[in-house]
Amino acid sequence: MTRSVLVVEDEPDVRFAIVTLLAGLGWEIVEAEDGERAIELVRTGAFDAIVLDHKLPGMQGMEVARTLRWGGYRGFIVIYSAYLTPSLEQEATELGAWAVGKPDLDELLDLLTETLHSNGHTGSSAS
Amino acid sequence: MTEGAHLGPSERLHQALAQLADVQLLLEKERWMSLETELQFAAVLDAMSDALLITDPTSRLVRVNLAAEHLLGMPREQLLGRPVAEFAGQGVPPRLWDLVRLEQEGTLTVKEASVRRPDGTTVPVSLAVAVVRTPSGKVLGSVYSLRDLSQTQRLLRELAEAEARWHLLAEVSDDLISGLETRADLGRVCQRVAGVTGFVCGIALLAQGGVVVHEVVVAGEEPLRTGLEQALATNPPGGALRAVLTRGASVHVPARRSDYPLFAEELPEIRSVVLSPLEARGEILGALVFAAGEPDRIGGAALSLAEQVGARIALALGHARLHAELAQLEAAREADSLRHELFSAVTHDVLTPISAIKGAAKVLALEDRQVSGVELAVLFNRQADHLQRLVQGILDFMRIQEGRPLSLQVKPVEVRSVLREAAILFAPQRRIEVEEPDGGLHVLADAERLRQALGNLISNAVKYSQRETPVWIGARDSSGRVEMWVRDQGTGIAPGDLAHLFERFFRGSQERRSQGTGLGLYLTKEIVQAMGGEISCESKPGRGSTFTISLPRAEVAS
Repeated sequence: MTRSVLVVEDEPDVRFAIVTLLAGLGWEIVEAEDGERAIELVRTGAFDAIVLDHKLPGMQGMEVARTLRWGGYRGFIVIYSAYLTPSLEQEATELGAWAVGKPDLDELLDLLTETLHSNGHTGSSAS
Repeated sequence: MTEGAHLGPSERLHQALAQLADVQLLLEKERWMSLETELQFAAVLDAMSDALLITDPTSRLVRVNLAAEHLLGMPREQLLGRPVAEFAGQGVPPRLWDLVRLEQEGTLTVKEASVRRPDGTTVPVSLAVAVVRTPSGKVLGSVYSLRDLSQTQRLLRELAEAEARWHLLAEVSDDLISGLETRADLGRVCQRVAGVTGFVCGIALLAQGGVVVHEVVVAGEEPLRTGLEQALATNPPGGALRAVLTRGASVHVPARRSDYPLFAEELPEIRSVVLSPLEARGEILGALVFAAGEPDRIGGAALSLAEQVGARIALALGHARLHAELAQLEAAREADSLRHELFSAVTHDVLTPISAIKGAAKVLALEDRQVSGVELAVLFNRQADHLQRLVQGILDFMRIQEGRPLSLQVKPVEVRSVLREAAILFAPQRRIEVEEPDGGLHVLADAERLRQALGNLISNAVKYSQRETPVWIGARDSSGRVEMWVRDQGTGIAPGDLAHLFERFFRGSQERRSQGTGLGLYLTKEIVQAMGGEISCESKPGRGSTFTISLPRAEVAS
């Protein structure tokens, strides 16, 4: 079964790299450049995992994660940001999300590969 | 001096004199006098502090007391038998009938007078006199009671001086209590001292932590004032001032010989002087100088005054310097925290282009990649530019902070091509609409800096507006200047933020959480201003913003 991943990132070049690499792993990738668009996409589609930048125009990544969890999304969430702080990491843990600091792309890819190949998570929609 | 100060005791003296006269009368009348009472009477007279002269009807002295011997400077054996007139100075009625006449006129009152001593000197006295009569009215003689005022006058003068000094010190303390911040504060203190004492008063301050006089304030009468000002300002290799400034002890020269070395440039006009160190927290900050043109004007009291005034000035100076040091520390701490904030912001900002580069490098290594090498090369280049801009921003910021000008090569730059380049550069991120001016329009600017400024504004416009909306850039000729603008239909700027938009580290209240150093618009403004231009912003929240740069137009022959 093909895994689907939502990549939320406002910086086009960073988003391009993540999307290209994840697509190379054989997954179906959907992109969003801000949090509002991401929430809309999750409402209408099922994603096994979401890669979330934190500093986004408008809603911040952590807010997006919270909104998704409260909305019933139970898939895998990883915050991928250059601005991680201990309190952000703790907030991520409380939401049942992971946090990876930019530019540690290898860790991000390993984490996603491990998670999505172990069948630990199945996508679900909020609706 | 007031007479009232002596009336009380003198009136009592009158009563005593009357009683004394009665006693004398009794003695005369009844011829009753044992040796014992005579001795007691003499002892009473001698114990009195006022001088008593008792005369016969011819106004010759028949009896005097110890105080009279001291006052007139002659032993009683020599005094007895002499007429009062011999000692009467101003205001002393010498003959008995003068007293009787004054008594009848009712003007025989206590008054100030003087007596002449055999050595020719006069002594000021407070005088009370009485005519001695029998009960039947027969005149027996007179009694003069004299109080030596010379000592009182001296005491009073000293009292007045002490009072003036005390007032002066209180006023100086008042002057200094609000702090000693300016030269004017020191000038006020000098003027006050000069006004009260009549001395020329000067203050010489050493440079902080140094041995060189760098500030001089002098008040007082000319020409001594100017002379002292010049003498203090000339740093002395030796002399009294140097000694005071190095050893921290006062130098007092009440009557100066003209060759006594005071300053580097001698001032023979100064004949009386005191120099006192200004010392605070174990450090000599300068010297206080009182000077006068006449010898003996500046005595021991002036020395102690100088030391007391000096102590107050030094205290205030010490406080002022402490405050200055604290302010410096505070400024350094603030600069430190600004630097910290900047570096923390920049180090995070650098991570974003690095993650793009690392990601693209991985893409490049993919076996079956769909993206061309050229596309990736463009990406690498773009992100390297991004990094360069971040670093350039820090370099520019540090340059500005250190007060060094930005390096500029100002020459005519064609505006339309700059706009077209910018549009191409940002095309991958956003649709850029160019409102092009005529091809011949040139602006006087540093081409690279102009691209940087415009790039900062476009990058902001992209960041704060929706992807679907374009960003407009353009330029037009505006009476000798060129206006270039960047307009978006983005979130706009809150009215309260507009005034602070171009301040360093400012981030708008709505954008506070987004990434960035808070330096972009500050540096853009600095760059534009360095090129002789101006930058402004108009914005409506929810409708978008327009940033306009105005620069001098360059005339170029086509």
